[in-house]
This record gives sequence, C-alpha cells and structure tokens, in this order.
Amino acid sequence: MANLLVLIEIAGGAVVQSSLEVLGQARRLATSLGATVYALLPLPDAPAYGEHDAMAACARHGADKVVLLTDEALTAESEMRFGTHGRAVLSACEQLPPTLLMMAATPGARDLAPRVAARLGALYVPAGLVSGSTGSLRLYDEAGQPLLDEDGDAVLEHVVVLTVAAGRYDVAEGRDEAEMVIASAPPAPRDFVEERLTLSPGLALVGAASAAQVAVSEAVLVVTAGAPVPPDVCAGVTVALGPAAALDARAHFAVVADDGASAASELLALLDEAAPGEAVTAGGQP
Amino acid sequence: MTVKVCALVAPGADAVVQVARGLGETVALRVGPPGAADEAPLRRALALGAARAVRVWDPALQRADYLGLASALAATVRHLGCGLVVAGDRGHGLMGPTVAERLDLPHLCGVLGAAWIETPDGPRLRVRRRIRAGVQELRGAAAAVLCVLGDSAADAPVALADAAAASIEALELEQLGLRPAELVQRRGALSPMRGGDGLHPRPLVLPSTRALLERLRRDGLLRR
Repeated sequence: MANLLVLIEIAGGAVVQSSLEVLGQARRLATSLGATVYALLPLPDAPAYGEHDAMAACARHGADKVVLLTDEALTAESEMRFGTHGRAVLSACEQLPPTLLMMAATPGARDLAPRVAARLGALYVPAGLVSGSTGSLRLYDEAGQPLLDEDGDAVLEHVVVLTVAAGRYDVAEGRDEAEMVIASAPPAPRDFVEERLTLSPGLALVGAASAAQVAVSEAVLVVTAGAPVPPDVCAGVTVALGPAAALDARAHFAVVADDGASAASELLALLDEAAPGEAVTAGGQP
Repeated sequence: MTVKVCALVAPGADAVVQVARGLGETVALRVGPPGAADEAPLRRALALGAARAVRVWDPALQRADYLGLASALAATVRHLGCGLVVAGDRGHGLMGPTVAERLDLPHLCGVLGAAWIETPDGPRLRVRRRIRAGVQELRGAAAAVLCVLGDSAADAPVALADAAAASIEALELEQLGLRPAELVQRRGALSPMRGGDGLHPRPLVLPSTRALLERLRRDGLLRR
C-alpha cells in the first residue's frame, strides 16, 4: 500500500491552516487510491495522545497515523528550514518510504522541500496540484498543466515531493482517531544558529499608487489592489482585492470588492489593528 | 584570507553577484551552451565586478533534470576550489538547495544579505534572511550555499564595455571528471504537457477583509 506523507507546519503553537488543506487532499487521494496517510508532526517532546491539539487536529482532518518528529533542532529557531527539520523528515521517509511527500508551499517549505527531494532522488513539484480521480496519481504544475513523462504517461515511477499553495484544497473533516508513531533523528551539530529575529511581515502592495512597496520577490504577503498578481512572487501568499479578484488564477485568496484600493486600505488598517506597534504597513525590512 | 566565492548567475540576478562580491573573490558560473543568451549573464557578472566567468556545457545536459544540472554545477564548484556558493532564490528556488546537497554543504534560502564576522573559532557567516515572521539573522558555517532573494526580470543598466572584451572560460564535463551518462539517468522525469486536460486553479474567495485577516492568522502570517 502506498504511503502518502504530509509534513505539518506549526506556527504560534497551532497547525498552519494550509497544512490542514494539504492533509485534506492527501486524505481524499488515499481514499481513492488505497493508501495510508501519515501526518509528520514536528513537536519538541513526545506528549501522550490527546494532550496536544495538533495531534488531534491531524487525526480529525485526515491522518491515518500521526508521526511525531522529535528532534531538539525542531524548535531551535523561529521557523522551519532544512537545517532544523530536514534530518527529522528524512528519518521519517527512511522509516516510511513515501510515494508522495506533500507540504504547504510556505517560505519554510521552500527551504526544506527541494533539498529533501534531492536527497531522496525524487521529482520535485513546487506549488503544484495532485488528483487521484482517475484511479492513479496525476500531478499538475501551478498553472494546472498536467505533468507527464517522456512517454506521455502520468504514471509515477519516482518518489514525488510536492508543495501546495494555500487555498487550493479543502480541509477534510471527520471524527477519526489516528495511531501515534514516534520518529526520532540522531542528534547532529547545528549548521547555523539564530541570533536575532526582527518582526516584520514583509507586505508588498501592488496596484495602489499611494502605498509604499517592498520588492514582490521578497514579500511573504503580496496584496494586489485591482491589479493582477505579478510574475515574480517567490514564496509569498498572494491576495487579490477588487472587482475581478475571484478570476485571478495566480492568487491564493480573493476578496471581491468594488474598489480594490479601498479594500487594500481596509486590510492594512485591520493588519495594523491586529499587530499594533509592528511594521505592519508595507515594508519588508525594519 | 581571500575566500573564493562561486556565484551561480542567471538573467536578472544582480543581487547574487553583489552578495558574492561582498564575501570574497567571485567566480561567476553558469551551465549553458555557447552563445549570447547564456553568456550574457556571465558578461554582466564580470561588469559587476566578478573576477572570472565560467561556462560549463555538454550536449547531454539538454536532457538532464535538476539533479543532473546540480551535479554538473557542484563538480565545477569543486574544480574551481570555491568554498562558498551564492545562488539566486527566484522562481521555484530549486537549484541552490540541490547544489548544496551535491556539495554536502549547509544552505539557506530567502537570503537578503551576508557578511563575514570574526569569532573565536575563526571567520563565520552572518546571514540575514526573510522568513514568514520577519527578518532572521543567523550565524554559522563558513562554507555554505546562500540562495539570495531579490532583483527583477529587468536588469538595471550597467556599463558593459569592459566586460564585452573579457573572456569566458569554457569547461566540459570530462574536465570535471563527469561522464554525460551519469547526469541523464532519470527516465520518467515529468515535464508539462501542453494542451492537455488540465486543472484550472482559482483563488479561495473570502467574504470580507476581516475573514481574510482571520485566514492569514491561521496561516501563521500574523502573530496574534
């Protein structure tokens, strides 16, 4: 039976919503194809089942088994990267050889996923899509184009590492419980040590003439006000605001509004209200 | 101590050369066939102050996937004796981490800048990088692959008169100890099929900016 592994990302002590969306799609694939879904959950210690909301969330939203990744490096820095999470993820892949390793397309995944793919000799599909409706796994690039091999077949002969952008899939709902497994990686010297973190959300505002902008290629959140999402977004979550927002295929989220600029101003005001005193208005560096 | 830094260059990636030059003597490197298209980024790197420019190519590389290309780049980095590599972090950001894997070096993506600092253990890198929460500063390894964010598709004007006359060194796989067949192993590599029965991704439509704010919070983009 195929193994579908989903790396769950934690932020602020809670499971990131887009990780649950990826888990949901893995659940639907597994149901169609007859596979087992493993949620890889990085936690500093190994709590008993039921004592941690994240474990319950993974079980509730589609995991057959929750694999607790325990490694002191997992919480050494503010966010995941290969240097903190790679060893644990690869250890899990060694114990549970995946057909498909999936994770949300976040800045952390952008650092982790390609290196894990290279280590596994896997195919890497960034910000892609996957379906199982035809009875076999089918992959698509971020534009929705099907990915086929040299013979024009979509049959996978290699392990695939896939990241999925936010908002592409629904969360799966259920009341199932999941078996808990612990996977630990041997300790290793750290490559880099975090010395400082300066809070700054890195917002790029496109299309609103009065707003300052940070380079789109450096932004974590790209908001378009009545303009299409630009092509050089690297790792950001993209939001379209305006009358045609729902039609922008490159956006992850949309709010339909008569006036994109007014909606953007409203969003900036809400962001400032949510995090007062921080550099919430457009600015990538403090 | 002069550190040799390899800059993996591409169009519109001046930041890669600028970061590399701030760290040491820079060798610009690119995989590509002879011709203006692939030599232009190398000439631009020379105009921006790179000490050397190297192009590596073999016709077999046309059929290589990302693993094969990274192997060719890594072998060239070793051949050039570079201990530090700077790559671009644009598009899907694939090549930098894969080259790091082939070189068995640590890597960092989302890099905004880097500098050397003196420590009791010798020179170390201090790296600023963009993460979801903000700007992170890390201290660590003296040998690594740094993947630099920034720059746009359009290059700013730079005087290229001197660079046009500079020579670009060409290397072949045999000079690097590689056989073409080693780099084109994968059968079944995926590539987009044009005109196929595809999907049509659309954004998730939220009813209001307040609902959007809540979703951004659940994606870890807000700390409260």
